[in-house]
Amino acid sequence: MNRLAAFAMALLMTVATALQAAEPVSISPAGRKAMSPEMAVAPDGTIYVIWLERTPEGEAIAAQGAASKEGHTHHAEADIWLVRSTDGGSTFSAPLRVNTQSGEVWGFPISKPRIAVSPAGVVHIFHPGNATEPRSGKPIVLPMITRSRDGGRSFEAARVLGAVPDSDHSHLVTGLANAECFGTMTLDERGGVYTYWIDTRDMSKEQPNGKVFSAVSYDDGATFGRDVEVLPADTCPCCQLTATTQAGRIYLGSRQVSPDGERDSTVAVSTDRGRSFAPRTRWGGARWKIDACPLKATALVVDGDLLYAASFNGGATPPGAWLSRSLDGGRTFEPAQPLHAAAPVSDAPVLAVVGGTLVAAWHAKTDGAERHVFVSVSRDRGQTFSAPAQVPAASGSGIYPVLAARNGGVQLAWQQGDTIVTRFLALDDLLFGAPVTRTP
Amino acid sequence: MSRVIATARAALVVAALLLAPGVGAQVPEVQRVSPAEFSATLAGLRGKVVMLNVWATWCGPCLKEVPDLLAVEAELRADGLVLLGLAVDDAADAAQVVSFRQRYFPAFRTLQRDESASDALVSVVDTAWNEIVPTTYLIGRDGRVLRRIQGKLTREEFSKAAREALRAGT
Repeated sequence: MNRLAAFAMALLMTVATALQAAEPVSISPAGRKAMSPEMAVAPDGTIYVIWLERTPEGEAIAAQGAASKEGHTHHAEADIWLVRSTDGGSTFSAPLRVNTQSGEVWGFPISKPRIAVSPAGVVHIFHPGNATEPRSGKPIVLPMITRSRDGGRSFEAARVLGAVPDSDHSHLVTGLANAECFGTMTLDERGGVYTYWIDTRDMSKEQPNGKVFSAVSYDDGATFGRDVEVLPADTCPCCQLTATTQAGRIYLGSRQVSPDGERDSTVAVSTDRGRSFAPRTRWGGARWKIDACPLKATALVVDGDLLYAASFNGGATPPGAWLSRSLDGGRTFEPAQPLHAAAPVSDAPVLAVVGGTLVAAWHAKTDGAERHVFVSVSRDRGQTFSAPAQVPAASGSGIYPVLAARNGGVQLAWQQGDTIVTRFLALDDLLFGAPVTRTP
Repeated sequence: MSRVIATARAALVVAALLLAPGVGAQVPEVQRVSPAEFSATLAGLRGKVVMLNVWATWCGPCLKEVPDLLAVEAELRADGLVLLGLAVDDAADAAQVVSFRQRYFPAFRTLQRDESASDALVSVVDTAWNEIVPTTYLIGRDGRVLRRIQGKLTREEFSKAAREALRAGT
């Protein structure tokens, strides 16, 4: 009887632990408006999560902008907050403000900060920052980077990576003399820190698209080379860039505007540590012709010889989050398949690979009410996927998930209402059910 | 109680929208609305064809199309067309929407979102909105969405779509 009771108690504790582990942990303070999480896992397993918050000072700046000649400055002031966990996500540190000066960060969720950790454990955060063009006195946005060499306990003052151009595009960029934002960052195993951003410095009224500029460090962020143009002025200026590296190759995701007005998701590949890129490859099948601000990034992840890409495609049937894979390093892509064909809205996909298993997360709306975060896995290298499963969460809208592979599963973080939450998902989690073959 | 307040506020907005005779006239203040107030505002416009334009001050294509939308409204207002904007800028930028409208499009009757998520507001008319701006809806006299247009069109294309919506409702 005692043994039975002990067994029952152990079983109850196991179930309780599993249920507790399944509950997302809130990591941003209650009562504040946190948005746009990003996440990285260090080689030692430390989990870092950052997010954006608009500052009261930023709101004052917005009011000043309202009273300005332009009636708008696009000059949003925000802070980046960081928490870290050294116990596998059970507990997190108190939030640390990353930026030295309050309101230093250009704070729109559509151009969110990026975080990555180098093999040496250096934490890099790349973000758009507020500045002033010295000649005109007009606001500009510049790409900035900061790093921590003590495990996220403190950060260096931000360094500016982009040049301040002479041109004034405030008539095109609504109050900003120039904008260098919507950026991304990726690291390699040799100390390479590769940053990319969309730049309006040569924008024209006839061609209101952006160029992609880059600044690279080969010494884990100690020094950076000067910024250089890597893609011409045909990049959708409001679709944030993405990048990943593997085996000496850099993959850069962007949305290219064709002469006919299609804004298609593309991948460019560099094989010389970022010094040059091959022409972009469009993927996804259906073209998407639209003169608008789609605000849609391209998720990328590499698994050996496979490159996966996922993004929203408004030209596809159904419109929503689609995924494709390339078997030849990004030169060509297979026909794309929808991640959540039954959902009227599916968007913001992100990808991770864990030991050959592909994990996808996105937000979707299935009941006509609020958006929720969904996940799915492919255990056969992207050919079939488990049925989309909604990640349980508190009430409210769950949006903009991010993923990081760790410890045989994925750490998932997202914005739940005005709070940033996170949880671990093991690959044997019940959410990842039986595979379902989809019809492309 | 909040529903009563929402309805009352919406009634004021509707009255202002319908009384404003057109270009050059006094245009109502930019009103911050919740989903309930937005829904009540649209309900108050039943009997009109509403061209609802979801826009943002940071969206270049949005700003390019507003003059065309205003021209279409001026052309078809007597036939029962009402142009109504819904700015989805961050709530923290509310003052900017007001001054921006005043400076660039003083004749543009527009609402803006309150602290609610933009998706919650647009879902009043379209639960499948995908956060793309600009998005323009043609809403029939009975309140049903007749057409969703994403991205900037030409003035002629907007005019054609509005005329079709007006015909559909008669």
